This record gives sequence, structure tokens and C-alpha cells, in this order.
Amino acid sequence: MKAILAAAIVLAVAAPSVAQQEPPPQPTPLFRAVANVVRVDTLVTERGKPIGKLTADDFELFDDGVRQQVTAASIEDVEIDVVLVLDTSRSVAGTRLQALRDAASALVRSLRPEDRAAVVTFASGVTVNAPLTTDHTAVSRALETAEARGATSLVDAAWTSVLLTHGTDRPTLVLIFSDGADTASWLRVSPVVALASRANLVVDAVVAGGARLLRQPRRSPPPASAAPAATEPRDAGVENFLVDLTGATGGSIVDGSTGSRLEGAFVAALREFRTRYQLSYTPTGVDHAGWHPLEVRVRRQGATIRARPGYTQ
Amino acid sequence: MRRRSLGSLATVALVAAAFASGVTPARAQVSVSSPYLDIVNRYQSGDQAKAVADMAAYPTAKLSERARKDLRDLTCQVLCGTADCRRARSEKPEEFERVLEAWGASLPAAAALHVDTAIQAQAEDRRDVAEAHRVLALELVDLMEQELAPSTGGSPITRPRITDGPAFSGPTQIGPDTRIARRAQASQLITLLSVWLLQLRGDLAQIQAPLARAQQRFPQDPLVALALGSLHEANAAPNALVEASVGRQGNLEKWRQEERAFRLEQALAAYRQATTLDPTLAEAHLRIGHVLLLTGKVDEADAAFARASAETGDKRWRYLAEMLRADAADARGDRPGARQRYQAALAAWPDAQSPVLALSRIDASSGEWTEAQARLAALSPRTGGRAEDPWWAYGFGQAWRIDAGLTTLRRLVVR
Repeated sequence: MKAILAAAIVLAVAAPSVAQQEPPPQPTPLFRAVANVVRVDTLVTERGKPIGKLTADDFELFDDGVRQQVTAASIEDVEIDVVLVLDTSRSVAGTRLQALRDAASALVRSLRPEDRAAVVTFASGVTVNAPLTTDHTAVSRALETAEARGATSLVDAAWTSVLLTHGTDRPTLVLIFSDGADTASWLRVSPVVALASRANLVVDAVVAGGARLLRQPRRSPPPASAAPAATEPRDAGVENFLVDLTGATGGSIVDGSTGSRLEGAFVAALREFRTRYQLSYTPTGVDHAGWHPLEVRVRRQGATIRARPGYTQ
Repeated sequence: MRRRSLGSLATVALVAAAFASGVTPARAQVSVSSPYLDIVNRYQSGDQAKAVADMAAYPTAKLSERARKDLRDLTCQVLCGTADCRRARSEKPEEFERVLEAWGASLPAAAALHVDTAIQAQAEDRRDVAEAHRVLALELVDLMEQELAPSTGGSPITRPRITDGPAFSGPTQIGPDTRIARRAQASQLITLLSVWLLQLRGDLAQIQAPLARAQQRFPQDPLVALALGSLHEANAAPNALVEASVGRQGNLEKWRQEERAFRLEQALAAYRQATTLDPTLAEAHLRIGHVLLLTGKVDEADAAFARASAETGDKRWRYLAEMLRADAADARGDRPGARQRYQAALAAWPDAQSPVLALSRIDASSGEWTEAQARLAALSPRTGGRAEDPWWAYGFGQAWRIDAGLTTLRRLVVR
């Protein structure tokens, strides 16, 4: 009941705003329909532990330096979507694949009945094994059919998973597992990072490829355009893809190099996501196109905040 | 042990004239047997799948030593009465001619068997086994070159002058002596297959040695030039550069930029050499275009893709040329042009997934979200699981040629 009520409040705030400020047709209306209400999924921790029971009054949010009036809802109280994006390239074959299945299954078991989940696997190609559904049994079955073979199309898979979630009003976690660098994607990095940064979702990554993959997200402005630039090399940014993707969405990268760590990392990612707050606001005094840097503050001494660094209007 | 092997000669034939099949009348057959030679013989007899399976199960410890002993010394022992080949060569020149003839047949077959086994083992993720057989295949090619080289007193088999002209330079070209040409072809294919296997594995560091060998022996082969270009291109990839810069000091970003520019320049030169050697080689034109696209030279790249498309009736290259032309159009901001070319690519290769994703991106960029999401239906397990896309193989150089190369090689060494 609490969950439904909280969801209703969020929607009640969001829906009239969208209706009242229906934008005129645009040539490239990327997420235009929902851009009028900006949602920022925010993690607040103190010494690594999440701080609960915060209200809107505890937060200050600045959009391009202009303070905004926000509402805050705990994601703990609402239905969520989770997209599992799993690397099933040849390097995962054997025990690691089973550990991956186990970890993903553990996460699915941790979902609530009303939460939706999807499974996207990638090797040379990308497969949507299960679209977003509340049928968790079907999701678990889809996990069992995953086979390990081929190369690594990480960027293509990330595009697919972000596009899959387009239009959802639920807080969305995209959890990517990979143990290697991209070797076969067609899509360039910049449109994928740009799309993710416009979407109201958090991308977390669990990696098992050593120090080179295990780096901290880079919270710099993502590429402005969803189309490639003429002079941008086809492979630009591929080496920092997960760093930029997680950084653009306020996510994190964690180590899942061993089986037990993998399961722990998956479940922990979900648990952490649930402790986030969804801050929502209708931008005021910043009605301009382009990049909007965001700054979130909380009135708690010693608190650490993780949220996306901005969005593109 | 050897005596016991020699005692059961009857069924195993290491046939001296096998490699010259259909060219010269067969001389008297010579039978030499050992468990190892039995497998080589099976391979030569055409039961190649079984031979490869047997060889893959053969212990790899001291395999190189076993191969040399059985292929080289045992033949010499049987035909000349001594396993000391140097002594046999000088003391029994007539008998030794037959040894050379036997080696001319058995060494290419054994080398082919080992590279074939390496490919099979790699497919089964048995990397150590694959590597042992790949290395041994090249050792046998070396042994072949070394042992079948003319002695000072002359040799019954003329050494192929593969560096002198085009006669032995391409896998489809046959020189004046068919027997020697086929051996040269086998040697060339085994070397290339070794390179392609390493490309498939993404083992860039290991490729250099067999590639250098191939460059030296087959400088006129456009496939060798292609492989060299692909090695440089792979080394210019951002992830490869990050890996290569580990442990370096100083301004790493600057080093990576310079290294990338150098590698791409080298790749372009090698691909251009391939087109000089074979102007109709669509893959080389396509790769030239890709390198140009990597360096932001969109218009030049587009011209190269058009040339690749014009040079081929092969749908693989038509598909890739359309894909890359679409990307070039997209990069120029020509969204309708890009869309049209992606659709043409999809028509050329209907199972491909890359154009589907590219079109979904264009749809999304145009605000057509429903259309963009609808395209994801092509990625369901039922359809996406069957997808085949030549783009996925692009980053693995010429590894996509392995199957065809192996078929040719098997045909070449079969008795």
C-alpha cells in the first residue's frame, strides 16, 4: 500500500506537468515528453552506508546553478524495473557462466512481485532473452538458456537495454556484467552514452576483467548529440565506455571477478539501488537547450551523494 | 618400441608419391609405421575428421620431438638403414632421393594435420593444445623448407623459388612444377592459417613471428599484406593501445595518439600494397576505407567503400561496404542517406543484426521511439539467436577465411 501511494504521488506530480507543458514538435525530440519533469535517482551514504528516511526538505538541487523545487520519494517504496545485461562471450564459458547465471538468478529472487525484470545477453550479437516482465519465472528460464560463445558487443548491448526501457516511469536499474572490452559492436560509443544520459535510469557495472576495467565512473558531460560527429573515429571512447556510461547515469563499477563476489555484487547493486531517492522537479529558470549540469546537496554532515552529473535538454 | 612399430608395416603407407598424385607415376610405395604416423596417414587418406580428433587426443608433451623422429628419422631409417639423415644424404644419395620424396609427401600432410588440429582445439577452447599444434605445424613447415632445400650436389626436387616471382605467390596460382607448387601452396596456407588462428584468438603479440615468416616467403601474396594491415589496425584499436601502454612512463595519452597514428598509417600502407598485388581484392579496398573512416577522412573512405562494392559480387563485401557507407553518410549528417544504405545492407544480408541496431539508433535520433523499440523484436532468442553478421568478424582480420583455407589445404594434401 505504501509503495502504491508513493508511486501515485510521484506520478501525480509528474503527470500534470507533462500535460501543461506539452512542447511543440521538435526535429529531434529526444525524451522530450518526459524531459519537462527531470528525475534524478540519488544515492546518499555516510561512511559507505545509505542514509534512509530523508525527505524533500533534506535535499537541495541545482540545475545549471539554479535551485529547483524537488519532490523526493524513496525508491524502496516504489516498483522498479531492472535490466540485466550479461556478457556471454566465449571468455565467460564454463564456471564463470554458471556463476553469472547464479548471480543473476539471486538478483531476480530478490525482486518484489510487482517489479519488472528483463534479460539481455551479448556476445558477438545481442539477444533480448526476456523483455521487461513481472513474470520472474520466465526471466529465470531465460537465464538458463544463455550460452557462452563469440566476441563482445558491449556497446550494442548497452544501447539495446537503454532503448528497451524507454517510456517507463519506474525507477530503472540497468546492471551490466562484462569481463572484457568491446570487440564487435557496430554502434559508436557517443550516441549510446548520450542516450543513457538523457534517460531516467542508473547504469551499474559489475566487471571481471582486472584493474583495467575496474575503474571509477567519470562524471563528465556526455556527448551532446545522439548522432556521430563527422570527424569522430568510429572507435572513439570504446576503452572508457563503462566508465563514461556509468558516470553519465550516476552509477558505479564494482568488482565481480570471482563467483561469490559476482553474486554478492549483483544483489548489492539491487539493494543499493533501492536505497536511492528519486528526486523530481520541473526545471524553472533554466529553459535552454543543451547540457544542464546538476548538483545535488543534502543537509547531512559527512554525507556522500551519487547522482547523474547532468542531462541534455 | 621402434622395432615393434616397424614390425607392423603392412597397413600403414607413408607414400612417397602421394603429394605428386596425378603428376608423375608413383614409385614403389614405402611403408613406415608408428602411432603418430598412423594418424598422419589417416589424414592423407582423406579421413581427416577422424585424424584431427585422434591428433587432438594425442599427448602434447614432447610432441614436437615425436613428430621429428617419426617423420624424419624413421623414414630415413627404413629407406637408408640409418636414422642419421645427414649421413644418409652423403653416403646413400640414391636411397636418400626416396627419403626426400617421402618427406615431400609426409611433411606437408603432417603440418596440415597439426594446423587443422590447432583450429579444432581452439574451437573447443583447448588453448594449450591449439598452441602446441599451431607451433608444431610451423616447425614442420620450416623442416620442410630446410630438408627439401637443394644440397650442394643438386637435389632431385628443385627448390621452389617462391620469392622470385608470382609463380608460387598466391594460393590459386600453380607454378611450373605442380608438385613443388602444391607443396609451396601447402606451406603458404599453413602459415596463413596459423596467422588467422592467432587473429581469431586476438593474440596480437604472437602474430608477428609467423607473419614475418610469411612476408619473407610470400611477399607477393595479397593475403599476407592484408594480414599485416589487419595486425596494425588491431594494434591501433583504443583497447589495444591502453593495454600496450601499461607500465609505460610519461605522457601516455600522447604516446597512444602517436602510436595510433603510426599504426593506422602502416595499416593503410599494407592494405594499399594488397590492392597493388590484387586490384580486385574487395576486402583490401574495404579495409582501406575503414582506416580512413577511423582517421575522420569520411569522403575518401566513402570512395574506397564504393570501390570495394564495385570489385565484388560477394554479398559479404557488398553488405559491409553498404554498412560503412551508411556510417560515413551518418557522420556527414545525411540521415536519410544513412537509413537507405542500412536498409540496402539488410537486404544484402538479411540475418545481420548491426543494421537493425543502426536503424533503431536513427529512428531514436528522429524521435521515432515506437519504431526504434519495435526493431528490438529482431533481437529475440528466436531471431537474434540465429543472427549472422559479417561485421562481427571484421575485427578478427582474415580469420573468417579459416574454413575455406582449411578445405583447400585438406584437398591439397590428400592422397
